[in-house]
Amino acid sequence: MHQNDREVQQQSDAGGHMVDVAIIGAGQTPYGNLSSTLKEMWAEAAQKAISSVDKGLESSLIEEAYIGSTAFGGQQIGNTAALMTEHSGMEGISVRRVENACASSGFAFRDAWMAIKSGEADVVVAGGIEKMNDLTPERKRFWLGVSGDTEWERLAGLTFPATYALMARRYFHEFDSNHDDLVHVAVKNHAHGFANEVAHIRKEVSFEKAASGFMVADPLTLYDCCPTSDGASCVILAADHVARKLSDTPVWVKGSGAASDYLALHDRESSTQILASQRAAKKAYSMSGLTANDIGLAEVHDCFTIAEVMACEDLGFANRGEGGLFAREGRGILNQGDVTINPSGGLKSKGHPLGSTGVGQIVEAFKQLRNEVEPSRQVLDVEDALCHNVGGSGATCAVHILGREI
Amino acid sequence: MAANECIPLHGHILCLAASGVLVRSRFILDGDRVHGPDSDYTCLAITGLCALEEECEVTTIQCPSEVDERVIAAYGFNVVSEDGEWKIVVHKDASLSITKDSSMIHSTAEDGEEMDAAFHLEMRRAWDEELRSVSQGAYVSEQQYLTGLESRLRLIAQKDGDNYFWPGRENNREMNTLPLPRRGIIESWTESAAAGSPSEFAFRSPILNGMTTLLLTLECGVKGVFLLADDEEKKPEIGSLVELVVRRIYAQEGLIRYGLKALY
Repeated sequence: MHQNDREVQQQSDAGGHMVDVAIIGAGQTPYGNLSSTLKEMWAEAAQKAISSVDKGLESSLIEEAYIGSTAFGGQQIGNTAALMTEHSGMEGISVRRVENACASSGFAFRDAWMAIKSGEADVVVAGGIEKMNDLTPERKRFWLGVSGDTEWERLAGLTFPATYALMARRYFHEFDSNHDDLVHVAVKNHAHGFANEVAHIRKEVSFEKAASGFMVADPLTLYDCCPTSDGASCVILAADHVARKLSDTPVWVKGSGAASDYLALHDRESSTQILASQRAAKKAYSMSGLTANDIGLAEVHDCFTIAEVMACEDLGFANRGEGGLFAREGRGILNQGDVTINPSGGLKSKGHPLGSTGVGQIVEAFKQLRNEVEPSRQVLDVEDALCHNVGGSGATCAVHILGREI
Repeated sequence: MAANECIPLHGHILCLAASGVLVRSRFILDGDRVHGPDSDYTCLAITGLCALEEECEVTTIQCPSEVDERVIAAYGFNVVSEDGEWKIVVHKDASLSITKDSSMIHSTAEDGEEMDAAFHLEMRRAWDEELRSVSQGAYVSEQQYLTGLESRLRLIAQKDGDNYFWPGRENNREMNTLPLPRRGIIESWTESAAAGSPSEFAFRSPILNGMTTLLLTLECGVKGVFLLADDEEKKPEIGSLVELVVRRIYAQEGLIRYGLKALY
């Protein structure tokens, strides 16, 4: 049964209105190499989210919390969410750590949305945290790549840069594309992130410089890779009847889709597209009644530049095999094309604190839709935004479509 | 006993004799034969047994302590602890004989490639360090490694009509299985920088100046990822055919883990 049909059926069965869900508050720490601890970061993000609610929010109204984290480095792997919420005035509520690698908080957001959608709760928190830069280099190396297929990929020498490098080389082989297209992605995202006050790397790079980075995993260079960041993000979701009371400008969740694929790249049907992204996007578009043509901005998961090229195809902004051309023609640059891709700077410039990234994208979209970002990087006349959060090299994906109006 | 003819096989040198086979590393240091960067007696033994199997029936094999008999067994040979029909005898240098009477086969052929002395020493030290290392993150236990060893070495695939699954799926246990030929076509490849390899390879990767991984399409359409054998510096090409041979993958907690690598 089609998703929309299923919803109609559910509404009919329930004999009433299916609740709409809105985001009424959002906040995050800056991303970067931070001196603050996990608990401090979470407390900061949660406080910012709560205080951003237009008409104020008593934290006692929060009924559940879903917090994405990979527990990078082994820091508080168990019961993470309980520890975090006790440091943000949310003691006693139902809490859960959500783990789906880099898509952890994209899925945490979906879980929070579902908790309200089901009628179980009216106000729910979704967030994400990760602390990556307080480890010794040796320990960091152990933990990077733990979300890939350990038994088969890791033992073949693959880390995530190497896995995406395999995709990039194959992509260049199959389509009219080369490394220059990836350089265009890096240059754009650094330009976008330069104006973003919470971005990890606020530095513009020239085409020449981005084209000459040292090789990390051939053909991917340093400028094709996102940084490892510390950071936390938090959003507050509410059922429509609560949202309209507490916020003048709620941002509505119009579509939510999530999907998975084989964990290992070699098990997948294709190494030049992320089927989990396509599946998740299809569900989110269907639920929202929108298409890629309706999206004014998209925060896409550009852990590596080739990932953005493929995402633009998987999400429908570019035709199959034309993601490279899309980047080359600058069609994702701020306010220059039909859609702005990664106005925050994306993972490439804004940063990638693994567990925080998905909700961090939603914080960006929330602020863009409310015209609350720095004026120089505000996407103009945007009505609907898409957030695309991928776990690992494409094993999991959550896509959300947000809008000013429901 | 002297060998007759010597030929390259699996990246080693195979010499045939009336009484059996001699397998030699192709690497030479100061006149002595030394193991390749990711090879040892176990790898040489697999090559010898494969060659022997082409010539005659190999019923039972007896392994010395220098050869990991679990790897030999997982590859498909019948290993016994005593009274084996064929005996593997390791030489003082990086070569071994496989004969019925435990005799050694010798060859006077001087064929081989000179290995840099400093590189050889660094690699030996790196392997020793790696053997003592423990994981702090991603981890493949000995049990998990041994459970998957047969699939890893023989490419045992599950077959359902025209669909093949490798590595196998737990929910497909009722399906027929078959070993795939150990060769594949390069679909893509990458070379990780020295500091960019997984931590399991952290000691050797800087010495090797990075490691190369290939994405291969095997027969029947299944795909797999494999390291390049012998840590060669050649740049692979998409579409090329490669052979898969047994080599060391990495060591941890006192155990060397073996698998297939691509010979290019």
